[in-house]
Amino acid sequence: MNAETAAAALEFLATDTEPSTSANDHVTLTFFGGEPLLEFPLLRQIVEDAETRFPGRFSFRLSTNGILLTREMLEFFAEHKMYFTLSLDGHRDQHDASRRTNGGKGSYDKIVSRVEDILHFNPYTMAVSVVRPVTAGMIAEGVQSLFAMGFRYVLQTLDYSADWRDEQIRVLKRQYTTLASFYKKALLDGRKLSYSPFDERIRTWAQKPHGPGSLCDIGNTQIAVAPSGRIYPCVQFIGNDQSPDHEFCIGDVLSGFHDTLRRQYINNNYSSRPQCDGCALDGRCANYCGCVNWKATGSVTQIPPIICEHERMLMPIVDKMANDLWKRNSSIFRRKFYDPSFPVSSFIEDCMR
Amino acid sequence: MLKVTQLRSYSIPKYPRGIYLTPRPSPILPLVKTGTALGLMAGLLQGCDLVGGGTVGPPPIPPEMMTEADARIVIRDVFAENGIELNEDVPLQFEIELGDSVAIRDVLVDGYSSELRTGFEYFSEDDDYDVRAASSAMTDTTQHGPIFVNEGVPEESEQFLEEQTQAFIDSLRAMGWI
Repeated sequence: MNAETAAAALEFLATDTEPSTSANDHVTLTFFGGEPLLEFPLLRQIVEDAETRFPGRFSFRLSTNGILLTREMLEFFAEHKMYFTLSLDGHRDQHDASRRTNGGKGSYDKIVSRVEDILHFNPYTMAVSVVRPVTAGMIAEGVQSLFAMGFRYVLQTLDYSADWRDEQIRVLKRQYTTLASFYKKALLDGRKLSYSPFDERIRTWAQKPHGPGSLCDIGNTQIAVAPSGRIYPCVQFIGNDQSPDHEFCIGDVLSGFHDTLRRQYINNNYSSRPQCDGCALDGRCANYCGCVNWKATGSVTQIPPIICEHERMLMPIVDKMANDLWKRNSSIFRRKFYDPSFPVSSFIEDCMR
Repeated sequence: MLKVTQLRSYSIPKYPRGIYLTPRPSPILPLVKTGTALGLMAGLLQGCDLVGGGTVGPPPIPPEMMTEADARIVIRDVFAENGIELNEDVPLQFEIELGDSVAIRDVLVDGYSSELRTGFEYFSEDDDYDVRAASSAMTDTTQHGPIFVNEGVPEESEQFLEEQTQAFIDSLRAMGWI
């Protein structure tokens, strides 16, 4: 993205008055790639420009593989309250199995050497782990290694577009069962860990079930801007930006939204999932993530079998663990899932330590 | 081969649903609302493969719900153990939103302390329409303070109900209400 397009994108995001997006007085802008730190000078310019031209309107996030992170960048992020997620799958074998540098070498060591600095500047940095069939058997040790490194937040997701088989679901079940024991013990010991495969499913029972738009809101309150300035319903769709017909494009930052196209995506994402009618887990599983569905099946409303198998396998493990945490009166569990002041009170606790 | 399959039955989790304490503008107060979907989900359970709690066994049977009389004793005792004495069947008026209009409903609340402005309501089949209609109004803590609203637990869940009630009282303490 060049500087002119970036400036136009900022202008568009700050001043767009389309009803559904204007409901958000505040815009969270997430830089993604590829690797956004390849363009750090431009990124810095965008952040400073936004803060000057539209004070208080934006907050910033960044999704990075961490390889290019420097102390200067970390200082900049801290100064501008810019949070980032770090792509780090788990332990060395797990991470290097699928994340390698251009030279073919695993990137684990490079990233881990920066973790101490990263957590120093922001102790709440989230590690993002993607599980592929080849790494399914490594996640129990991998996730525990991330928490041992000092991360408190681990967001883990499957590569839903990969070729998953029955035997890998059985492997995952054993791994999650091990992790459930670890997580339960950690919470009973008073540790504040967050592991998304467990936390998200507990919340759908203890707090609020998923519904259309709640898990992802593609094209509506959530959009992606490609380097060309074209707008897409979600980052997953940008891969086709170079195609001649710009399939999936719903507008651009200069002329705004193509309303008809955009409305199609929103309506599709908000429509029911016929395959799930009557399922006991409807509202608790990830079937409403339209972009994941699209990436795996080519349709926003078509559920890939891996999502369904994964949810049916994982939910009982999570609920059994949560039942026990409730029964054993885990203070962290109760506060985390039933007390809305927990993020604030927890933060204050952390500051006082 | 992996496939999309609708799960026709699933064990109801034993940790509570919907007692998330929604922050309110003024004052920020808790409301414990429990067991909302318990009855509904119980009705959905059918004789299919049981998947839940990691166990496999016979199909689940919709549970019998604890009677109002039994539940009142359990809840009232927990309040009493915490030094809160409640009067029974206290008449209160609630403003209920009906579409664009607001109606007033007279409701006998199962247990209530006018002094502390807190109490409880346990829903059962015995409750009339007005009590159920007032359930959402009871979540409005600006009307009569935080009220522990429970929409039913299975019988033989005495300990569970005690824990829910205690959690509610703990939250009152945490918020400085009592």
